[in-house]
Amino acid sequence: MKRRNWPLAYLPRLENRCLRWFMAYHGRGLSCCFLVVGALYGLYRGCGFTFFPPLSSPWEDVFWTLGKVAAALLLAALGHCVLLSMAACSADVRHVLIRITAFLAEIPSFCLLGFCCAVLSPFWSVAGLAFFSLLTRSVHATLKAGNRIPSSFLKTARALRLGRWQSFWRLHVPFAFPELVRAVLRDLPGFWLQILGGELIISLFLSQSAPGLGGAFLSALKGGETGVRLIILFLMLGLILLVQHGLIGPLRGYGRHYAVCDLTQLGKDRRDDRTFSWRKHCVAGILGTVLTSILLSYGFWGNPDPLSLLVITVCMIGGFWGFAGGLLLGASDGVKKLGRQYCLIGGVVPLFLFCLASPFPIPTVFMPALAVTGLSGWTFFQYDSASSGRQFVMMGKYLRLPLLSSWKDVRFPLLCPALLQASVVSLPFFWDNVYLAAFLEKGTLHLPILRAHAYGMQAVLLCLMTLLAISVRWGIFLPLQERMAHRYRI
Amino acid sequence: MGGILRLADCAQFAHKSRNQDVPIVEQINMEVREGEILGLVGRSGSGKSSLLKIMAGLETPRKGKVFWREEKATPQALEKVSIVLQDDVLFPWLTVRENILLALEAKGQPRDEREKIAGAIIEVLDMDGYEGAYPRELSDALKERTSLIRALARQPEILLLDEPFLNIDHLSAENLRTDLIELWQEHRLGPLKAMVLATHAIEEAVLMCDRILLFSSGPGRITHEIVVPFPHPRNRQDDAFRHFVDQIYTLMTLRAPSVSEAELASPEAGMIQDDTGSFIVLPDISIELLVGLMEALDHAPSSGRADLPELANQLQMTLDDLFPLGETLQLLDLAELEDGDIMLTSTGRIFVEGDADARRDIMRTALLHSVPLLKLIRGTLDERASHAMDADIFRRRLEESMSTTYARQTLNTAISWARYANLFGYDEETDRVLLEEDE
Repeated sequence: MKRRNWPLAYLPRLENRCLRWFMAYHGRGLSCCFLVVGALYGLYRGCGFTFFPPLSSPWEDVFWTLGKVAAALLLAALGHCVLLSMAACSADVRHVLIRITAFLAEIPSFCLLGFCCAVLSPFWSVAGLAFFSLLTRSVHATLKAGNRIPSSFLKTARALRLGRWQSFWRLHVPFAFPELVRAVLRDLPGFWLQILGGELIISLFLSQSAPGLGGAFLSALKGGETGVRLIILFLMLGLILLVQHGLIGPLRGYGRHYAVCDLTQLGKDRRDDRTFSWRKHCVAGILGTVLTSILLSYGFWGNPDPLSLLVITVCMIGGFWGFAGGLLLGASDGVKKLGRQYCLIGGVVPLFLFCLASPFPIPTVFMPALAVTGLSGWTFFQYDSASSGRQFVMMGKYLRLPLLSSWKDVRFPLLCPALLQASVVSLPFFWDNVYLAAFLEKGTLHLPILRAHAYGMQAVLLCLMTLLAISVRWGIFLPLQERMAHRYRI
Repeated sequence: MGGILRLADCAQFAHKSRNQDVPIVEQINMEVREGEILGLVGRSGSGKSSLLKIMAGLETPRKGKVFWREEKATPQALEKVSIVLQDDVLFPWLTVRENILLALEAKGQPRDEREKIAGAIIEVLDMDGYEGAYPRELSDALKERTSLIRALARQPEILLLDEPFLNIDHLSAENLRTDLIELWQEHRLGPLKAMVLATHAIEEAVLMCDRILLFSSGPGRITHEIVVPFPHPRNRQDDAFRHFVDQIYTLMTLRAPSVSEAELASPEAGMIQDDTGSFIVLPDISIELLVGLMEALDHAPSSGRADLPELANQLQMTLDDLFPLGETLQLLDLAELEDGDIMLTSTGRIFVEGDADARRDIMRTALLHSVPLLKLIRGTLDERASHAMDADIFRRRLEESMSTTYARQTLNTAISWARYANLFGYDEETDRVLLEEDE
């Protein structure tokens, strides 16, 4: 038998395999390769190495932004492993971590930017901001989901005599993985806003264009070059879609692999918590919100203050998704899935920047509301798909209910918990948008205190914004959500 | 044949509020001998699962000692015991093979050895071809088979099976039972020296076991030890086999009647509210089931009296499902249990013959007379000007003598029964019990 030269013999097979890998799942391999190469280059630049000459303007910015994304994701993954390993040590550590991350997740990330810039380079400040937010929220979600494992799984792990470490990594983490993926998806809009918005704020703050797409966008805005603006927006969109395609897609696939049951539906019975009193919580929450809001509006904000922005957003989102969501309640699963996908894309696109670039003058006051539309829609569809409300809408149709009754007695009870869930999920993203709007708004103190390196004032602002976020979330939205979820539970 | 595992005077308790611990099992003296399949037979709540957990070293008995080959059992010794729990689950994100390997990983065996053992046991229990399948792709029977393989993969000397065939269909259960017995007979289950099967199904125990321990409830105690005289393979249709099974049924119904779940919470069987003012647990049984059973009893061929196993068969229920119904009817003085039979009382007969209103009246009287919790709630509501009260107050009162879960179940059952008898209503929104206008 004639012996063939092995590299040549295997080359077609290797080529074939590479090609298959590149092109599988609509070219996911190709996206991955581009992301990896780009991220390595971005990281190389971000770390201050200058061996290679810089690329031309928009491409250099793309890689800088990609480098920040990669740095934030890598740090988040590393932080995740460290924190989960700590949580594996004991249940007490796990409980402490849940509480700490719950608190840290409430801090509006942009408030930390000034402090980050004081100790880190602009590159690592932006990456650190995105990393912090992603880490706290996803670790919190993972640990909380791990606490809701059905007892049969825990009993089996004990019967198999799995050790504490084995039990945590082989049972708790896989069980919580779908929730982790959901948390990442929920945090994606915020993540992109922190990266691109962070670059934009740093450019504003340093009064010069910092490398990155956000900075380039600000330069284009100042220069009034519409063509450049559009190119940069197009590049932003391309980058987001590439990350979505090459990274988030496979992550979602893994999430589905571990999905055992929908943990979002395993809420505790209200009667389990004897101390629950939604009215008391709401009163305390409203008081806290109003007080912090007054302090914020007199100290830092002009008009409209964060509370007014919240009210405007709630009205706009409630009105839009209340109507659109109500109409889509009886839609087929395919339509809902499509809606979910479009909303996710709408959520991750930095709508804020698109509004700024728009030829139509959109008041800044509406921008936070517009920005959270996609994320709240995605959460709405997610909740609605899980709650299987379609059968009730169909039953309403079969019973030939009049329009008013159909909305009042069928659609509204189905809408209420879903809308509140969507609001709760969108809150952190909303606060970041409010903060970004304040930076771009004339008459607020945000930019001046950042430029003046007034860290005391920044700390006060950080505390007040965190207090406001906590009051709104824990004092108003969560009790209302729990109340509605109980009142209209299926 | 020598004893491998021995429990000496063991007792286990369930922890309740105010440090009131309620016994689950007590005075347990038993031995698992080499070469035997031992059956633990009793109703739900008789402490079989607790005993298995003690034997597996997953729980430590509050009283008594556990011996492994006549020496005090250490955790290392009890590593040689594997258990298949009643609610055993396969990790859904792992394939069949990975699930089995996980059990060996926990044992800390080298990777090669793990693969070898897993491959061998998969082949022995005829699961080749399914190694790469995820649990969601398997039928219930194959899942149970995989659980069994996973437990056997640890190469135990004793295998504990807690109601292993409960959640699978009859034919698959029969198939799995036969395979297991065959492999056991042929000594193909590795170093396995004994099996312990906890079940409520007497026929299953007689079919599989060499020795049976009958358990009473409240607290669980061994009442009888029965040696099964038939060689394997056993024939269910054999007259001697049937007679043997019937005898065990009779033995089981000879015991003092009580509501099984109530017994778990209150050791004083038959007492509704003991001297300390504590309440018994009410089972999660709807009035419709009770009425249905009374009607079934009244119809021919029963005519008010029926043999429990036969009635269970006729109603396509298991005896374990039927017992609590009979006992609840007995609690309400609508039926009586005697020598393996159930019969309607005179009140029960009047109830069955009555129309809807008459039935409600009889049930109302029966409930007020026999269920002090309902009497207490109704009395409190009558006394209050608003005729309403937080249900949580009664829930907390119940929790003084039972667990939170049982307290919630008891109050839910009480509310459901009270609604049928128009004793009082319940507003779920405000979590309040209240008297409605027509009450």
